[in-house]
Amino acid sequence: MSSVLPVPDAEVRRHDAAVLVGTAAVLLVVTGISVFFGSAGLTPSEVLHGLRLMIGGAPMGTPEAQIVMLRLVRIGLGVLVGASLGLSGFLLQTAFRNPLADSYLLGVSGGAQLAVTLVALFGVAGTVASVRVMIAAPLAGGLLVLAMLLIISRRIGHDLLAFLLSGLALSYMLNALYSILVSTRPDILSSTIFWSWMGLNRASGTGMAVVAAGLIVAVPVVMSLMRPLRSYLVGDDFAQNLGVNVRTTRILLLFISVVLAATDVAASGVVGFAGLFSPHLARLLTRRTDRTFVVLTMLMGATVVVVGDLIARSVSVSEVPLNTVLSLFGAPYLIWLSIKSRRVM
Amino acid sequence: MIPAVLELSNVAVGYVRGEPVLRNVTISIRPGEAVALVGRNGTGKSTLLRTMRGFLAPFDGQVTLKGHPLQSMSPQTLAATVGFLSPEIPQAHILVDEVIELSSLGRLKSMEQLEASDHPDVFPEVSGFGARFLDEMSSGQQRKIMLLALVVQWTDVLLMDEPELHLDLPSLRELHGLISWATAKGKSVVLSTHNLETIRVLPDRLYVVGDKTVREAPRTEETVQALLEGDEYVSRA
Repeated sequence: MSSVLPVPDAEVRRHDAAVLVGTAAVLLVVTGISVFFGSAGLTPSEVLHGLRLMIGGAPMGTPEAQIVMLRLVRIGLGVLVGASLGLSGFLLQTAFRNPLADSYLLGVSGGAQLAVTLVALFGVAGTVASVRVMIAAPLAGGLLVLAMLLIISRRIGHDLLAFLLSGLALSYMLNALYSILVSTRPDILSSTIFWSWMGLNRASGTGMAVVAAGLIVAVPVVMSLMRPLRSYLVGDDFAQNLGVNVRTTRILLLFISVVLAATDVAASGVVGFAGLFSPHLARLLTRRTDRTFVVLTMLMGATVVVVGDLIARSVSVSEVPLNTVLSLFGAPYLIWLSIKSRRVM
Repeated sequence: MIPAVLELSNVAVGYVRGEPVLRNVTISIRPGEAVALVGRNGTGKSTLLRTMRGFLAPFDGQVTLKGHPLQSMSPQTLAATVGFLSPEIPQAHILVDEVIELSSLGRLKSMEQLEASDHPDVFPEVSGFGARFLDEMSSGQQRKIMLLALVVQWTDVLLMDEPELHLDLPSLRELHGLISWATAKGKSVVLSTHNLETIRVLPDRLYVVGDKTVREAPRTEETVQALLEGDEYVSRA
């Protein structure tokens, strides 16, 4: 039984390399196309001119270069937020063993958004601008919702759809509270509304740094957790029988997921469905739940958000919120998933 | 006499302190034997198996594994020494190959490698299922995968909570073959069961769980008849 040595499977590795390079190439092409679209209405040659100026070291030289710079920051943030949402969604789906989990659908993002609004409303003037508050408030809100979800999931057990429904209800309640708060003080909160509504159009270097920091912490931890994570996915008894601390694994996965979702809300407001989509899209390309799968999930998240944002700012006269664009595709997909999961059960 | 591999002496165990499900449990499992736990629903067979695996700490008494107190062993040492087949059906979206890889603690990478190694020749119908997802298989097929996973964990003691669940009749025979193969290799098997065929043909020894404790009973047709009648005091005969 112990005589067989693990053989590196060359075919699997070739396949993994091919899908990783392919997906990264698609993301690169999509970001490339994205630079040429936007509300400023630059012609392709103007964009190229701006790019040349930037590469030449004069980013603020002309209006073209300035616009191109803004677009690059926005796309860069889109890539980071997408990767982060994808990873967050994968962790949430794993921790709850529920392919329907997503930080937006379950109210985690809503809780983060509400917390930011509360700080803006009752906090000391100017605190929203502070980076520390920008991270701490959504994190606290997200963790509070997570605690509620844990209580709910303990009561519901393994009914995936009932759990999703409870999460959706929670999400609606948080949104209602948010709307009421906004209506009481439109003057103070107008900036918060825009933040929450518009997605990536408030892109900034600070936002990119916040999301990047979250990923820099989360990715190595997740990569080192693959063994317990996969064992946990099979079941509590299965994992515990292999020496995995089930409680610690579950809490760690959830905590990292919420940290990522909180940094995303801090940088770009509530963006739904990217966390739901990404692991499923990655699953189309690879069947093993390994490190390749995790990287693919992040690449898919980045692609989904960049494409969504491209649609958001080119489909209409004025910009459509990113969350609206993703909901347009996400909602029918969720319905299809629900039908499918019902059939599997 | 060969020293016991797993020993419970005067163990009391349960989920709420002060309300033990079982008390005064003294059991000794020797290498290479198959032992069956029988008794009515809710008497504590699963609780006992979970205690033997170290999932539950005894309120009183001691569980020793190869001479060491089980509670003092690291999760990794336990995972390499005593394996547990859960009654739960995973329904997880994960490949069978990965389940084999995880269970063999990295020794085997796939179902194919399992086939190529020295393994019990059972459940041939699932042998080509390495690239399938667990949740796309029937409960019975998943059960066979989990049984193979327990074997590739290659522990000294194999604990099985109702291993016959969801298995068809030919597979039940193969399960018996699997257990005999493991015991012939010096492994000890402890299983809980409600299956008449298993009780009649498989175990070297029989323990009846009931009346809040455990008693050894002879593996005779009288015992089987008493079990069918639901007589909890069967072992006093």
